[in-house]
Amino acid sequence: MSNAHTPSKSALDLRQEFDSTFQALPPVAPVARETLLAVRVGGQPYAIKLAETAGLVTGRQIVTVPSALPELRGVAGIKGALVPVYSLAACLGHEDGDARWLVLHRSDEALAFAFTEFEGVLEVAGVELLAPIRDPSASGPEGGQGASSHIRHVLPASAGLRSVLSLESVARTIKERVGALQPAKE
Amino acid sequence: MSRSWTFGQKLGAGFAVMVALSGILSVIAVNALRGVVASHDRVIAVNAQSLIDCAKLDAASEWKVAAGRGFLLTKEQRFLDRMREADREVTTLLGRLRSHLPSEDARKLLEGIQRAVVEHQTALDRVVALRKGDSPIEVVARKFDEEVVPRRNALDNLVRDLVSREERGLEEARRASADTASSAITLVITVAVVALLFAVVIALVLTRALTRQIGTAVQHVQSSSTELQTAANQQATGAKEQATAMSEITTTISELLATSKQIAEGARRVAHIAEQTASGARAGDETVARASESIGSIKRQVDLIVGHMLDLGRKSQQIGGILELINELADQTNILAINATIEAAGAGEAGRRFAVVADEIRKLADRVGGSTKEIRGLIEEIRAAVNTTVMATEGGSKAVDAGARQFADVTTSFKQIAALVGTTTEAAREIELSTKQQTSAVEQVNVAVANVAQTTKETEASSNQTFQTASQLTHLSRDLTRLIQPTASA
Repeated sequence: MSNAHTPSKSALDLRQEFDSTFQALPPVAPVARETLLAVRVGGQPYAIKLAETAGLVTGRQIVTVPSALPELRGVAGIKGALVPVYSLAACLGHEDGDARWLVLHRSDEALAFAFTEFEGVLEVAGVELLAPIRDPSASGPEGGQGASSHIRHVLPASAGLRSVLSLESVARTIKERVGALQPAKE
Repeated sequence: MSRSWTFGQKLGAGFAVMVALSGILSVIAVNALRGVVASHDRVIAVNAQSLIDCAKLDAASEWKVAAGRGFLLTKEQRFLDRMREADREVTTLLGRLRSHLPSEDARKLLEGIQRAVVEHQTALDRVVALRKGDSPIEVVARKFDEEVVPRRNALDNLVRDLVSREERGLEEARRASADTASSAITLVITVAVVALLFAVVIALVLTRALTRQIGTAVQHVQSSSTELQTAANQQATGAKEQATAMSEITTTISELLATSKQIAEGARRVAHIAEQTASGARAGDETVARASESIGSIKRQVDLIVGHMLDLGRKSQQIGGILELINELADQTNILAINATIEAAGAGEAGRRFAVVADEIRKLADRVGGSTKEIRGLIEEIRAAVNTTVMATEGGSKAVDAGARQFADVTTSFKQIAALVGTTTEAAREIELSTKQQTSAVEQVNVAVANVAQTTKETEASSNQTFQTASQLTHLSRDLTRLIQPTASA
């Protein structure tokens, strides 16, 4: 009896395999993938593009220096150079916490941002990154546009949306503020 | 006040008042009679005697005149002697009258009579002397008519005045005596009438008071006899009920007697069972002691388990520490891989292969991190399980301790039970003895109750007798009421 059933079962498998060839999506071209660092700043989930970073370190001593910018945490020795460290939470308008992680900005001038927690590495396709929805009323507490002005994309996740920061935008804002302070000193 | 007087006191008071009235009446009557007798005596002794003496004076005077005339006619001496004797009689009578009549007018009248007697005697003596001198009779007669007759008339007038005066005095005295007697009679009659009226009033008051008092007493006796009758009736009824109750009590006591015997038998059984229970308690005590030893061995095993579990907990903590180290190494590897990826990206096309290797290292580090997280979860579960097991084992240890203590308590309780069972045995024996004594006492009570039942029957008969006596007393009180109040309805 079992031999009588075996041919029909094989035929059923063949039929399903045949049908699945029509149900499967057509093969697509390889998409560009993006590597992101998943971090948590001021309790909020953010992501930083790996392409904008020059390094990720932790456990470094930050020496406090006097400055007119409240975002400046101090300077730290990274890769044999003194690098100014800014609080990413303060730059994004969040409450500053115990930031022990440092991420180096990939640029000509060495610049590091401190944040609270490093959650891991995310590899996403480019199509998964969505454009953010601008909310005019969501301005920062310090007169600027806050975090929203530095967000380029949002990434849907199971726990909600994760904003993708632009370190370039944050570094440019800091440079502008430093530039604005220098004539006042002269 | 009179309500508090007794029957005898009221009768005695009535008789005393009557005796007092009789005494007063007797005294008044005696005094009145004495006054009347005195008045009559005075009339007879004074007034009548004076009148007799006056009459005698008149007769003596007449006798003296007649004796003088006889001498004058006969000249015989015997007439002179008789005249002298009459004169002495007159003098004697005058003296007696003077002593009996002390009043002033009587004294004056007697003095006048005395003078008239002397003058008459003097004139008569002179005429007698003439006769004796042999003078002619005519001269003598004339002299007699001239001198003696007027004096004689004067004397007679005076004597008549005295007689009439004494007659008036006698009449007045008799009238005064009659008035005294009539006053005494009136007084006695008045007092007698008053006493009679008073006696009638006292008799009426006494009769009314005694009738009322006796009537009240009789009514009281009647009501009391009625109440006594009712009470006797109730007593008879109560005695009947008591006799019935005594009968029931006798039955109950008989049942009680049977019950007491059953109790004595039960107490004997209880004593027997208590002895068996005491032996069982001793056996139970030994069993509990063995169980207590087993519990001690269990407690030691449980303590060993707890020690092993605590060791397991400590080992798991050490594993956790090693795992933290591995996790840290994985994190550092991850960071290194990330930085290597960044550096490879910066190296351009030359670093592409290195980037692939770095990415693989990063993925490996990620998997190590994931595995360490899983192991950490497992370790946490093991630690939680160890903690739960330790707590459960400690709970078991505590339960074993409590069980050991309870076994100790059970041992103590068994000893107490054995002691109490011994006490129960003694008590059951005492109950048996007491119940036997109670049985004999109940038998005595049964006899006493039988005596009481007999007494109750006698009481019932006595109550019936009392009822009959009370009925007779009621009839007697009604008869007595009819005696004192004939018009009263019985």
